[in-house]
Order: sequence, then structure tokens, then C-alpha cells
Amino acid sequence: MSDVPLLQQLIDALRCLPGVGPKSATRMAFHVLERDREGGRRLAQVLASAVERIGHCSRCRTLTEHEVCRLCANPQRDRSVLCVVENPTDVMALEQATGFSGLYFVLGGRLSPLDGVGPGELGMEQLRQRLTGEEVKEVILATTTTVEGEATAHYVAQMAGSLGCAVTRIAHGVPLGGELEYVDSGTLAHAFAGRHRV
Amino acid sequence: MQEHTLQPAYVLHVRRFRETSLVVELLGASQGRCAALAKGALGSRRAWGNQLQPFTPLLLAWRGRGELPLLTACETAAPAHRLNDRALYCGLYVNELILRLCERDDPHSGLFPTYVGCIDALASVSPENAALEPVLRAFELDLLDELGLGMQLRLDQDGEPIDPGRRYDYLPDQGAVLLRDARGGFSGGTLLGLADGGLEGPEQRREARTLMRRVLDVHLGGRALKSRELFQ
Repeated sequence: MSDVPLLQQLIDALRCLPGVGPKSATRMAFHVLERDREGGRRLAQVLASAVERIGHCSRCRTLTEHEVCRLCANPQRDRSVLCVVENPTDVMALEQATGFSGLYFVLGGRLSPLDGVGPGELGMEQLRQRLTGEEVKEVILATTTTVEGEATAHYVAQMAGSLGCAVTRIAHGVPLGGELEYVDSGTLAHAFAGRHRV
Repeated sequence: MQEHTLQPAYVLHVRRFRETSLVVELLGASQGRCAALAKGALGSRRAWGNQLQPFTPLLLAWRGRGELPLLTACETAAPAHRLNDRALYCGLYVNELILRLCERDDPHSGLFPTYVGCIDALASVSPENAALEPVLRAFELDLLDELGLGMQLRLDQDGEPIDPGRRYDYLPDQGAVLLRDARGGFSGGTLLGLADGGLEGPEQRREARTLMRRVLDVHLGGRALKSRELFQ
């Protein structure tokens, strides 16, 4: 590595980011070196400590720099409702969009046997312990609507059901402000099947 | 460049590729198992992402030769098969079986109708083991036949007809071997039931499952199927 020029090392390193190819990486490297060295220094420091100090919450598996994340540690949250999501970004999205006041559990992916992801890779055992050991009355499934997301939802639903929890699933259907003729047939079929009384 | 017209196909598996593209493993009516690149499928211009899902009858066109041709058109031919509960696990199992056992671009002409029949059946029977297992067993047998690995379930190793009242061992490379002992192995009734698609009772279903698992494991080369973990 030492005989590769530092500039090239920087460009190669930047390419670990999603969507950054050789061209964007070069542009970023030159920008930092030519125009914003202070920004680059700050990025380096924050990146180094983030990678070092941010881990997973021991209760819900979301990203946090503490042993237990802010949401799990908050005594105001309703401990009887647990929302199961695939990724930490889903927690963020739900927190911003909904008034949900319960707790979360992050699986860290979805059941996808063809990618080698089975129940063992997703912390299902930890979820089972949590459902057994705590006063969870309702489990809300908020997995994606892909086939793998469905399989994951079914797996968790079975497990939670066998442990005596009520299981609900977030609705899927026509997006707000969407016109029916532009909605794809699969979504429309789902929306139609899941209609409710007004 | 070779341009295909719209052809019936099913997605077996989808993998993300770069930011907005997908690598799609397909089962085509005339191509057999193949793969294609759906460029920009998750972007805003082409919203194919939610169409390119397993168990949806699709019409697809692709262009180019080699490992990964480019998907150029994608239409939904009919609403997706609704696989519920355990039927969904079975669907994933069937897809994994095809991906593991079939080579790419080997047009097994009989496989597509067999697959469609299997998915149809999985979607229509009640999602309980008693109804789902015979569907899976029939598919496994048809798949092996299609691959030239068919099983002889009506005659034993010596060419004698299988007796439903006796017990047999089944060796994947030799076939059914009559057992002197009345215990162990598989009953002749299970072998015949499997061959005729008429398995009766939980005992025959259990035996058939064990038998097929043993035979498939040989062809899978010792690497277990991940989707089996879902059933535990």
C-alpha cells in the first residue's frame, strides 16, 4: 500500500461508499484537497469515531453509541407494543412519520434463503427471548412488501402468535395523492383486498 | 445483438446491483433458467422493481448475449400468485431448488410448465403440510426427471415390481432394494404413492419427505438448502 500515492489511496477509499464510482471519488478527493481541507479533517475525525464507537443496541439492535439506545432507554415509551423492522433506517423513517410510542426491534435484514439469510442470521432468537421475557402484548410487523419481506413477516407472526402476542401488520396500498390508474396491479389488488369500513 | 420478443417468464430471485439496478434470475418458458440485468429498475424512470418479484407471471424481453443480457421490457401477464403462510416458504424452497440444481441457459423445455403448475397448486391448496407436501414431492420428482436424474419407483433394483406391503431401502444411484427386515427403509406403498402422486396419511408423507431429501442431498453436493430452515 505504501508505494501507492496517497491521493490514489484516498480515491480508492472513497469508493467504498454506495454509488461512488472512480469519477465521483476523484471529484470528492480533489474537492477536499483543493477547496475544503477543514471539512475533510472534520469528516475524517467524525468518521473515525463513528466507526469506532457506534454499535448495536443490546435490546433492539438498532445503531447506537450506547449500550442501550435512546428509544429503549426512554421510560415514556410503551413497552407493551413492539414494532419489528428490517433495518435501522426503517426505525428512523417510522419515528419521523408516525406518532408511534412503543419500542422497536431491528432484524438487520429479511429472510432470504437464496442469499443465504435464514432465521439464524436475523436475531430471531433474541426476538423470541424478548417476547418471552417481557410484557409485549402486540407485535407490529413493518417489513417490506417483497416476497422476502412477506416470508419474514410470516415467520415473526408465527413465533409471536405462539408466544401469545397479538400480531398486526402495517397496511399496504394506494399511496397518498396517487391516482388509481397509475398504481401497479399488484399494489391495487392488495389495497382492494385490505379495504376497511369507513 | 440479439433481440428477444416478449416471452413468458418467472423471477426466481432478485439481487440488487449497484444503486438502482437488479440482477434477476429467471425461469423462461423457452430459455429455461437464465439471468438478466434490469438496469435502473429501482430508479424513477423505470419502476420495474415491484414487478420483478417471484411468483408473478411476467412477459419479459431482453437484449444481448453472454452472461448477463439487458432486460428491455417487463410487463405483468397476470396478477401474482398469492402464496400464503407456509405456501410462501414452499415457493421459496422450489425456487432455491431450481437455482441450485439447474445450470443457467440449459433450456429444460418441460420445466416451465411444471413450475407454473407447482406454483398454481401451492397458491390454491390450503397452506397446511398435508396439502402442500404432495405438491412439493411431485415437483421434486418432475424436476429430477427433467434433469435426467429421474427415480425408478415402480420397480426394484432387480426389475421386480414394487410390493406395497414390503419395505425397501432406496439408494440414489441404484434404486429400490428389497429389505429382508420388516422395519427400517421405506414402505413399498410410499414408493408407489410417490410415483402416482397419491401419498396417503402422515406416515407416507413423512417417509416420502425423508426419501426425497436423501436423494436431493446427493445431487446438491452436501450443501444444505437454506429455505429448509424456515420450516423448522
